Amino acid sequence: MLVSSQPTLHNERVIALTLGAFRIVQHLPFLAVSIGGWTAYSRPALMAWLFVGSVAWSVFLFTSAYRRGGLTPPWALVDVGFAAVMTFTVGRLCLPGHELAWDNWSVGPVVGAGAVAAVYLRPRVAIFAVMLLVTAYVMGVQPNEAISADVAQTVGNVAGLLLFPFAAGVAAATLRRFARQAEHAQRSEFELRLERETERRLVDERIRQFRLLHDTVLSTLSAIARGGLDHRAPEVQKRCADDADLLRGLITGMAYDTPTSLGAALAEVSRAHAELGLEVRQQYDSLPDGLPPEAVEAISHAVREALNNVVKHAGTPDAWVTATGDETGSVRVIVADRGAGFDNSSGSGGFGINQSIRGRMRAAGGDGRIHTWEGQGTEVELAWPTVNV
Amino acid sequence: MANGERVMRVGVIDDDAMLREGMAEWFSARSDLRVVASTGSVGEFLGEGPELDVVLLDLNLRDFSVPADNVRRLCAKGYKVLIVSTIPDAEHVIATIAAGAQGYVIKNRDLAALAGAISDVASGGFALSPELAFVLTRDARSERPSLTPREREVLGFYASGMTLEAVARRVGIAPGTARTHLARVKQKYADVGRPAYTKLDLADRHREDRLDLDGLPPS
Repeated sequence: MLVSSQPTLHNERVIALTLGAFRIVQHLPFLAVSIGGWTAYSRPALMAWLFVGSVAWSVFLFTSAYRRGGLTPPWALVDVGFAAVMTFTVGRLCLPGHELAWDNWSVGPVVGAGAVAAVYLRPRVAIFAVMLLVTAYVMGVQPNEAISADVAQTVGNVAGLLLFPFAAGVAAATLRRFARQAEHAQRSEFELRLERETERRLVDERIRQFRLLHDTVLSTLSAIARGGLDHRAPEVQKRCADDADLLRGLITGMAYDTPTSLGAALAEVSRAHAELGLEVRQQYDSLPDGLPPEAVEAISHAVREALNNVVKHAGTPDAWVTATGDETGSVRVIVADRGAGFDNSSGSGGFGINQSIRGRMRAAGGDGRIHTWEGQGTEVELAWPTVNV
Repeated sequence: MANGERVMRVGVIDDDAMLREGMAEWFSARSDLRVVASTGSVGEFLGEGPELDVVLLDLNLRDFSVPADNVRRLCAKGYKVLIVSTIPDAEHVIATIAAGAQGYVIKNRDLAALAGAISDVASGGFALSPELAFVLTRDARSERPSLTPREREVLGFYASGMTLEAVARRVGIAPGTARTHLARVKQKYADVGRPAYTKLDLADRHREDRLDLDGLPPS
């Protein structure tokens, strides 16, 4: 049985436990009967084994049903088959006059098997199963002349055999309906919470971006607007160029897609490096929204490290950050420069960035690799989640 | 270089007057570039009808003209168009390339790269900046030039800013082969803008193609 949620699992366990307890109780009258001796049966030893087998099977079946949260149809059918064989045999083993008395202990367990059929099988199959049980019971007691002597008693037992499983089926269906309703309510609440969380994160992201713009572009523009600043001065030009890079990155990362935290994070990293004199050309496309924060963090960290490396070692003022996503939600980032490169033939990563970049990426479920050759630039390639890069 | 020390005459169409002025001054740092015309709209430019080598056309003019229409109007008059913009608006960049623009560069501080692109376009070639390569890798139009898998691979790595040597190393081919693949990509896109009509045209095209191959910058 497929159990997906807490309310359903709980409910199925209650049903299994109820049926199991009932089945054990249905075996108890026999103990009382057996105290009076084994005189009602033609083969007492076989009867004792049958009883022990029936109890053992019941315990096994319902323990497993409790653990798994229900019974699969094949298991329910096995239970019905077992009960049919058992009631037929017990009926035949009863000496004349005892088949319809308490000595025929099989009636209780057979009613229980009917209930199992009603609860765990589809209605049509359940009706067939109950009919099989009734037939086996009647055929078990029928060859003895008692059946003609006590038709009323037989009909009464058969009626119980029909009515009790029906009642059990209705009760289980009602319980399950309630469980479904509870589950539905729980799921709606969860979805609502998730929606609110996403909304909150979007607002946070926007506030962060506004703050970033305030600290950079807005303050630069305000300073120029106030007058007295020579816009031809190198430091003013530098600052304007850096701010333009930031805006370009932000717009590239989100203008044609929904805002993504990765696009904004990368734009910010690139802006920080512009202050160190590096022109970072940013190209973003189809970046997935809703990347886990640890992935965004790891990718930003790796890009920052890679750009640091360009500043320190590559001896070039230009770097490219290219980030693309695909429909599966994975991201590929390449940080490239056309600078000095280094000999990476040992694979150790000349400046330890191999460790720093790959370690962080791998911890977040991604991977990173550095390709470089003396005099031919360096590329740091990142992938999230892990694929061969 | 195919163009040697020839001065390339450049026209600038940009709605930002400050930027147009700045551009002329910026170009003065180089002896091989000269701004000979500078207007705020395509209509104004065509009215003047200046004689020049390359038109630098701002992608999004503020007169609400459609970028691809601007390119078509200029190409119809025989101008070679190089698109410049601050933001690589992929959709419009591809539309202008389809309309016959011979390249795209981003507005930034890299004068050498711009000069290289102008030189490519002036010699009848296609200016394939990494930015444009990136846009082309995202080109999903049904009528786009068909590239071989290897050409796409080379274009993709080139788009991420790598040198041609690095691209070749990554793909596992010789640098010369990578250069040829990229030249073929350029050719396929350049052909979009200049359909060949006659045998004479084809001969010219072939000659231009040789120039184009030779004229490719080293990286």
